[in-house]
Amino acid sequence: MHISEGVLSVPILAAGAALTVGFTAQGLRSMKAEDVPATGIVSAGLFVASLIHVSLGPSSVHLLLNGISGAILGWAIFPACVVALFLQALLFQFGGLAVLGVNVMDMAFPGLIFGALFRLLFVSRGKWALLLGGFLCSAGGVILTALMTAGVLALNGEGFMAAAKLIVWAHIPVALIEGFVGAMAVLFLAKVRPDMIGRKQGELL
Amino acid sequence: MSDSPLGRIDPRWKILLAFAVAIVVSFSREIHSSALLLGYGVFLAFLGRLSPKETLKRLGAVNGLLITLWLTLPLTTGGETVRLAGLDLSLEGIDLAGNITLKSSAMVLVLMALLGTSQTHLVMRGLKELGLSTKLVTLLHFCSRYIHVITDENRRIHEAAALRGYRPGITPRGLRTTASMVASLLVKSYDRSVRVNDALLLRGFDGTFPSVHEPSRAALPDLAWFGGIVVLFGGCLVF
Repeated sequence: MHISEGVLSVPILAAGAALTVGFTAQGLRSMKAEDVPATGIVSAGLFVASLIHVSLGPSSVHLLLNGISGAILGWAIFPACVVALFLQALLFQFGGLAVLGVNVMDMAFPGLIFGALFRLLFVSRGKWALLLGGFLCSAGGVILTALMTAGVLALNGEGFMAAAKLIVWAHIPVALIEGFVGAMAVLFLAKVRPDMIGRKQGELL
Repeated sequence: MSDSPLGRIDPRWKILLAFAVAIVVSFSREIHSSALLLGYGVFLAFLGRLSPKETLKRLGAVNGLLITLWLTLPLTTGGETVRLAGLDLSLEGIDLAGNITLKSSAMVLVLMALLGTSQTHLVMRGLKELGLSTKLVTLLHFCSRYIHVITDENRRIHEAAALRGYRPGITPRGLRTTASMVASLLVKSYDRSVRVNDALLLRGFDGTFPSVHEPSRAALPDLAWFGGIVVLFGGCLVF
């Protein structure tokens, strides 16, 4: 869920931009110059995977994958999100330029938090810990993104409260779907490419 | 791409103007100034020779948020109300939703006309010349280059799954297949990143690309008339 250009007031846009600049600078510092191309390609993979739709009754939802992105990219999720959302503004005109900071914050911050929690608490504790961690961190990423997006709208003015509540409710089924998909995807990665989530072959399962 | 008057302009100037318009759009609170900005967007779209059909399609693809705001703001904002179809709608709410719609439409047009008329790699070079961090520009470069490649991978995986009877739905099997697709895409992109990384190291890549280009210089006539567009934008601000 991107907030489009022209919705938010200037102080909120400025705060979002300032936070994103700070976090992105830290993310760039954490990347070695020679690792940048590989990070870019993995970000492209996450970008394409997040366009996969799951039918839900008459409509369909697409995955956010920010929890799993955080587990794979760590701090680099911030620059990766800046790049992905800038490309979306450039190619599809989703989101915008002034609102980029707020949108990156809403997506990348939950990813950073839940990705770190996943690596800290659930990795190397066996199959069930991976499944549980994959579920909680994927679903948690979506819920926190929805809460932050809603919070930003609520700060924007009294009239936006109803839209903010709607956004949170609408994201609960998305969070559940993403939780199940995330749990199974994490298990797949642990079997096939455990080094993607920071461990060597055989250490995860 | 570059067969329009705007396509010939140095991307750097267009990036700066796009950011300037984005900032002004954020400050615009009056419906008439937002309408003026939308008019400016239409003017730029005309200069960028955007295809009307494609542009209307993009404008019509309003995101869920705008629809949500139209459904909620007129009902929840206070102030004077107007009775319509048995509902008391707040005038202030309608004004706010209309204002937001004008502003986001203006920005879609400006982005399409200014940044959509230059090739993506030139926009990136422009960003680098404007002083954006080299790492971030390199990241942007690789991400945008490989989105196309991985989209093809994704299509192949989808076709293979569809042939085997996969329907994207909320069933245990559907979700498991979706998860395998997501994970396969990630594994494929990760493997590709390792291969590309090895190939780059082999060629002496040290985190930056040697520039084979002359630094871009704007032709004077182009600069002159683009200056005119910017002045016109300044005129919009005064009103």
